[in-house]
Amino acid sequence: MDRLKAILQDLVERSSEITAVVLATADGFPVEYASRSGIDVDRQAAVIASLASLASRSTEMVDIGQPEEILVTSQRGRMFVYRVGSRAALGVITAKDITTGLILLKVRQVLPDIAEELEKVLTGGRETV
Amino acid sequence: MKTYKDILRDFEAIAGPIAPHAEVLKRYADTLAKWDDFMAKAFYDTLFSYRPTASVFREGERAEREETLKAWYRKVVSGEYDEDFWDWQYHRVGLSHVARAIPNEFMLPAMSMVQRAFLERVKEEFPPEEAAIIYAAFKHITDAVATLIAAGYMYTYLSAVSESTGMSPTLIERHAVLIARRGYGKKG
Repeated sequence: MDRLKAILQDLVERSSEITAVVLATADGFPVEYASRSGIDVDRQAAVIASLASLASRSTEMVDIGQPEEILVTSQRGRMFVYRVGSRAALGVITAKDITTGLILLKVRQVLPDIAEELEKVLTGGRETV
Repeated sequence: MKTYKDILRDFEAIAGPIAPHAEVLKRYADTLAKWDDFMAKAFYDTLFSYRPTASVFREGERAEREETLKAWYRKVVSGEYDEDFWDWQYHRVGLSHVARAIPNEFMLPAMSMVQRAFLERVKEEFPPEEAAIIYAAFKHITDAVATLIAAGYMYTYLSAVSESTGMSPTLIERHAVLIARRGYGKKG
């Protein structure tokens, strides 16, 4: 298993509230993912990239700089989206009842590693999933 | 996103060059230009006879629109196509369809109707072999115009979504591909 996959897998395994983690390019293609059950990774990657773009455009329009985190709370879960550099976004899907701070902490801890591995993928020509 | 020049280059690569057809129309331009009243009447009789297309127009607008159509027709049959001509087709004629929310499913049959009206007239006025050559030229040019208008419509909507949401055209295209894949096999 390559390192990027291992980082995402570890994030899911260490946090029972996280159901899926998807890393997507800014154009909506999946780079890597880990999940507890089967997901439509193509669709989720496109949605994550879209949320990151929309948040970025929105914060730019209200002049508050680039978004650091996007949190969507819905009826049955939560979705966290992080920009990973300017070329990718990370989506973290969780259950509804979670300790938000704990998830944020865990994700923030691994974001630099993800960014580093992503750079290798994007410059090294590794096939995305 | 593509420019009108890119779209025209694609059109010529696939459908064939425009210049030979332009030469044909140039030779007959004086005669063809005289059919402008006929073409405008045929065009607007059709559009005003169907409520969804008639509703695009304002009350009392027909005379003004007929003059615009006649000017467009005379330019098309002139055979004189410089950059200004194509720029006009794309940015004025084409985008006026976007501005009035006239979708491609109205524009394309309307162009087909224009071609059919022209064919009827050219068959009446010229011997069969000559009529076929003139019609082929007119159809080729108006197909190029329809291509520009249709592509311009899509690219304008793509720009609107891209500019308002920050999503790149490639990301929007990605969503379209995923939706299309889901739609395989569905009816309606």
